[in-house]
Amino acid sequence: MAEHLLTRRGRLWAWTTQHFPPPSPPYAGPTGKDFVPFGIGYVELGDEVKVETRLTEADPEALRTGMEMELTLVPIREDDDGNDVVTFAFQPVVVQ
Amino acid sequence: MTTDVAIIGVGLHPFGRFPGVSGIEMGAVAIRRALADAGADWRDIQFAFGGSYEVDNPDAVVALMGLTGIPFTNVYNGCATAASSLTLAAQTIRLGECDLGVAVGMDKHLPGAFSADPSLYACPSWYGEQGQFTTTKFFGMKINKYMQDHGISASTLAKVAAKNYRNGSLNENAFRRKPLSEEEILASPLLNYPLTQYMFCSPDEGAAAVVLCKAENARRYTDAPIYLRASTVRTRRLGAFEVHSPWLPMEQTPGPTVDASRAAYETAGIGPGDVDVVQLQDTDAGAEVIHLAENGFCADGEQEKLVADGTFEISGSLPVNTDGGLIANGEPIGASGLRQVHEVVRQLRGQAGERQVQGNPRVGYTQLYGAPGTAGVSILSR
Repeated sequence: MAEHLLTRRGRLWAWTTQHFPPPSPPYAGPTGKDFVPFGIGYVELGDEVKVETRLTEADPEALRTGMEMELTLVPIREDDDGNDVVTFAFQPVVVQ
Repeated sequence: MTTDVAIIGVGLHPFGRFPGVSGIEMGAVAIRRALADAGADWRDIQFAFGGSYEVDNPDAVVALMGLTGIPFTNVYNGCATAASSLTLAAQTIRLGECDLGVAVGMDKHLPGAFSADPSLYACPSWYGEQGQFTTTKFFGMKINKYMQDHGISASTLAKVAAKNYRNGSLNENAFRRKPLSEEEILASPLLNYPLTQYMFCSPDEGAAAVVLCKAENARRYTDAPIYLRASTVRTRRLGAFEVHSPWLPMEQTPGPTVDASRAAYETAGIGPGDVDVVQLQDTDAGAEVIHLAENGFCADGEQEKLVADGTFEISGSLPVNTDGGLIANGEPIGASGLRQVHEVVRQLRGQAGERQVQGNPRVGYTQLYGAPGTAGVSILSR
């Protein structure tokens, strides 16, 4: 197996939003009153692969199939020492 | 397989919540009812297949049925468990080893969405930790994309769910027997856009059983045998858009339902235009919409008009989920597909009471689909 660098930007291929806490375990994020809805989708990276990912945007009105997305990191939980554990996510690219 | 296997008896334990009743006990009720329906005796049954997710050993039902020493094989194959039990039972008869057997399914799930250890599905643990190991979000993504690609409205999803609750209200064995309006369905809490709470089925409890025999023996038991013309199971191929897929290749291929459906039609020598009554996997209302096309009953996008026209109502030209489907019955995984067969057999015999499809239906069709990309289809006829 060899490392292969994928592009950081892609297009949103399919998406939904998660409005209830997934069953824990395996979900390690905040539950109950602390749960914050998040988006989930597949982002097409170039012509190489579709990656399933969390989306920073959870408002269906703000998500659009085909929109340009960019890699970022989001916290999912705190470890025992209070440090953020982060994972990959994609956010809409803001057009300046 | 042509007409070599017949279904001569069907039985159900109602679906719903039954505190204090074990999965095994529900399985025994379903078997006894199927045997009574067939006019067969447990002592004459030569083999059994039993499907369950929650019950480790469905074969323990022999403790309630009678210790006759038969081979009893336990089956678990995700949401297609019951299709696998049925297929294996039919094959056992076709092999010529046995003439008379039982396929049974039973389950007793806790309320709430299904959960599991991602590693059991060949998924990395981080996939579950960050909240992506859920089936409901897959169904949300799939129908959301489908609606955009093929012009399906949220109102159509609500109409499909309302139909299934309405059909369930006519079914004494259903879990949810209260009709719900399209407005109530659309106004219920959003779970995974565009799917609301009342558009989803729930895991619940129940059991179903069928008695199968060699076709040439069927008339010893009944003057209305139903022939199992095809029973197929398929898993996903690379490129299919499937639940629990952390990545997908760029090129998309049809899903396992399409593959299982095509194989079943070919085996049966029957086409979608010949089918009179249909049971589809409606994990959510969107799944029923997509499965209509994946099983060949319409082209992509035609559902919008066909649903509005009432095509899939009990009174329509192609009734779908006449017993309320999963939306009204819930999903005890091991039993769900045999419930579908139970309903089709009742319809083909003209025994569906208030839910009876008019016009003397001859051909029935059932389809299951679920994690991690498994589908089962059966085709039955008088």
